[in-house]
Amino acid sequence: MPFEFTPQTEYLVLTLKGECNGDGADKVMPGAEKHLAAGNLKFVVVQCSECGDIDTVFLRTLAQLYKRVKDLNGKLCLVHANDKIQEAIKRNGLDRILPWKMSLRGALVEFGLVKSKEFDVNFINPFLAATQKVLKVQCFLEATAQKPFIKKPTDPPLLGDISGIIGLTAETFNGTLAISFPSSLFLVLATNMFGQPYTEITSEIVDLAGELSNMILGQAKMVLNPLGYQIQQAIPSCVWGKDHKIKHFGGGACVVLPFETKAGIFHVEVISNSGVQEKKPLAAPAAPVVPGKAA
Amino acid sequence: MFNPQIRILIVDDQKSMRSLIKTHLRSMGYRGPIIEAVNGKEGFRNLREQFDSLLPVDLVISDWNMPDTPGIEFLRMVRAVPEFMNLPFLMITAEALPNQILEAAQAGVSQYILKPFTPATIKEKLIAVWNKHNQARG
Repeated sequence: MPFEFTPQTEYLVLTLKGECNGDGADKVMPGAEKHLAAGNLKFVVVQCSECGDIDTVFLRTLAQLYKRVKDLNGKLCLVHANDKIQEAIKRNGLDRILPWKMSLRGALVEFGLVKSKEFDVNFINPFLAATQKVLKVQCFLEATAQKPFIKKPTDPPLLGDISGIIGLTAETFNGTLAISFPSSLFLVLATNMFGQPYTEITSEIVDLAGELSNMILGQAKMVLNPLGYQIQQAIPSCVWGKDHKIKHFGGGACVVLPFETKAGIFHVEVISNSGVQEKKPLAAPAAPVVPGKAA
Repeated sequence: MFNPQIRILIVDDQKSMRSLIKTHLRSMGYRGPIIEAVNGKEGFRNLREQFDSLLPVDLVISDWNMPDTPGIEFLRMVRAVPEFMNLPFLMITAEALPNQILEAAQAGVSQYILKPFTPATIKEKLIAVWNKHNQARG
């Protein structure tokens, strides 16, 4: 079938693939009904970035879906529709009920889901899973996620001994991912990875923190980009030194994801440059306070 | 079978990742020489130098996300040279999005290794690439 459903916490994503014609169109409504009911959802994002064209039969099916979410007091919006799709919608006189936006953020604003908050929960959750997977597969260490919290720039910094930092831009976000470890935990990670004991942070392992942040972002990206987030990422870097801290630029908030392991606690910080904002060119990571720095 | 004496070039800007790959190679019984480079440009220079000194590299393991010359650009440089057109080339990447896979396939990548990876994954991919390379050579 040229489509698939991906339910999110607050909305349902219908991803269209290839050429959407009458084939399989009759499966859209039953699938949508199931997911809308299961998640108590009323908003639908129709993700078109992987779709070349939509024929009249399939457009009528989307119109039926529009009517269904309207009955639920919800909304439907297409994102990343190409010129052909936009013209087909107009040609069929459906442009008033099948609106399109250039970005997922545009759709979420249309739904009223991102207006009053700086972080889209659907954006954060994949980072929890990605962190656990990277630590387990690469470092042979189980990490249990603790309750995330929002830290403001005025709050005391979370102190770590070594941090990996990577800049990112996305449709609903523009900021930095940082992962900070106490040195004792970092040495356990290195020992597990290399199969030999490390008792101090050496030049051989120091950039590991940056690489781990790169892997976490890569994993999260594989979940989020098919949903339309279009995350780009920069080259990772790392900073170390007792009590270094990650400086927050732009007044944006920071979501902290704490993790507990048998070797101690570490934190992943997802730092917004200035809250939800329009996409900007890929920027360098937020500048850290640098007792030591490696590219 | 994987020949444990072949010459391998590892290209990654992160020293820890080069060390990790070397550790995994040694743990699977590999005993040959390893040449290292921090970006594609340096990697390509190494390939040339080794070839010219009659000690050609047999297999490349390269990261994708690197400053200066990223892995995909390095791969295109390699494939543009007749001597290296069939050189086994493994790309390591932290992501595997459809458009990225397509881009690498079109550029002539031999295999993908997705981060995070285990020693078993490295071994499996290396053996697959090496066997395919040998079969192609007859």
